Amino acid sequence: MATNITYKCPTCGAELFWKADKNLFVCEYCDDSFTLEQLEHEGQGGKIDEENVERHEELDEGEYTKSNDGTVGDNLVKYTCSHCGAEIITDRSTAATVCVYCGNAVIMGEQVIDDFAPDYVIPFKIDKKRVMEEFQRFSKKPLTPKDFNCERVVDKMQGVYIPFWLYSGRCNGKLSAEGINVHSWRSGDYEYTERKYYAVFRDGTVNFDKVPVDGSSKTDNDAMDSIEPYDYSEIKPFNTAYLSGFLAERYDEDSDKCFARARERIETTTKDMLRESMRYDLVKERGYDKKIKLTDAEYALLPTWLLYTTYKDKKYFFAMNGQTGKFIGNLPIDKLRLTIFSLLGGVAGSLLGIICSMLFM
Amino acid sequence: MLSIIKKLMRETGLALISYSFLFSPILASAEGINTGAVVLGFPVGAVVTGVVLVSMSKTKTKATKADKYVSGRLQVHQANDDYIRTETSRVKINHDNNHR
Repeated sequence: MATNITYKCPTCGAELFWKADKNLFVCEYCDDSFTLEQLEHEGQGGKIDEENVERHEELDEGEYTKSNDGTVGDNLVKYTCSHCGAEIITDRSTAATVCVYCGNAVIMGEQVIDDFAPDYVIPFKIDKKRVMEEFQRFSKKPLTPKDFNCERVVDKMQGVYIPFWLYSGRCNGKLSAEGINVHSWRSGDYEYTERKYYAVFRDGTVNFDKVPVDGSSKTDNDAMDSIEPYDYSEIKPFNTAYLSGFLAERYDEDSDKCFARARERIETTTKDMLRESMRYDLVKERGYDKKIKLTDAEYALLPTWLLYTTYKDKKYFFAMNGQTGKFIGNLPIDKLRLTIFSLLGGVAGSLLGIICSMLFM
Repeated sequence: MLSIIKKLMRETGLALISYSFLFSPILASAEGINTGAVVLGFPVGAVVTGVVLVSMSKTKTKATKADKYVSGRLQVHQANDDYIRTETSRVKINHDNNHR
C-alpha cells in the first residue's frame, strides 16, 4: 500500500524528528536519539521505494480553497496521513509537511524522486527557540517601534527547506578599458596635474562553485539572496530523513529559468575581478565580452526559517538562514523616532560644520 | 510605484518647508562663513543620520555578485597595457582668500 515516508524510533516505534540543536534524529516519546547511519543500519533512511510512494489526489472543483497551513490557492492537492488517516491538503509543490491533526511528519515521496530528487541537503542547525531569540535581537533597532513586541506579533513561524539550484562552472571575460594615472604637485604659484592614459585589456577566467538561486516561485528572491551564504562544508547527499519535522518545497522553476539570476552575478563578479587586476587610479570601461561555461546545475534543499508578522494592519516578512542564523527583513519604522534622530543628526552636522569652518578658514 | 513617489514628494516638501521656516531668520541675518556651515551642515547631518538609521531597519537586498562562490583565483590569459598619451594642466593658486 502506498504511504508517505515516515521515520520510526527503533526503540519505541514513535515518530522521529530531526532536532536542529542536537544534530540528531530524536524521539519525542522515549527521548532516544540517532544518527542517520544508525537509522540506515535499522533499515530506515535508505533509498526510497518509488513504487510504493504515495501519489497525490486531485481535488474536486471547489472542494478546498485553503491548505492545512492556511495557504490560499487553487493549486492544491490531497494526500493521506499514513499515521492517522487524515486528509492533508497542501500545495502541489510541497514536499514535506506536518499533519495538523496528529502532529506527525509527512514527507511526500513523489515530490523528491525522479526529476525532483534533490542532490544535496543542508540540515537545520537552528531550532525554533533560537529563532525567537535572534528575532528579538534583530528587531532591537533604533527606529523599531517600542510596541513591536516580537512574541506577540509573530503570527506564523515555519522551518522550511527551500529548493535551490546550485550552479558551478567558469566565466571567461574580456574587458577593454582606459586606464588613467593621476599625479599632482605644486610649483610656485601653480598646482599641476598630470594624467597618463593607457589602453588596457584583460582576458581572464574565473571558476565558480555552487552559486545558489532559489527555485521556488513562492519565495521572495531578494529575501533568499539576503540570507546567503550557506556553509557548504556541511552540505550532505540528500536523504528524506532530514525533512522530518519541517516543511519542504520542491522546485517549480527549472534550472534554465533560474540561471539568468546566477548569470548576472557571475558576470558582474568576473568583471570586477578583471577591473581589480588593472592597477590604475581611474578605470573607464570601454567594452566587456563574457562567456559562461556551466559544468553543473545541482538541486539542493537548504534550511530557512520564515516568520510572518502583522503590525498595525501591515504585513511583515522575515527570513533566517536555518544553518548560520543570519536574519533579514524590513522592520517597521517609527516616524517620530526617525524625525527626532534626524533633527539631532542635523544639529550635530551644523556643529561639525562650524568646527570645520573655524579650523580650515 | 506612483503612490511611493507621491509619498516621497510629500515628505520631501514637508521637510523643505520646515527647513525654510527654521533657517529663514538665520539666513536673513546671514553674515560670515559660520552661517553657511550651519545651513549646509544641518541638512547633510539630518539626511546622513536618517539614511543610516533606515538602512539598519531594511536588510533585504538583491544579490548582484557571486564573490563568495569564486573557486581559486582569476586566471589571466592576456594582459595589455598600451601607453596612449600624457595630459598636463595647471591651475593658479588663489592666495586672496587666505588674507580676508
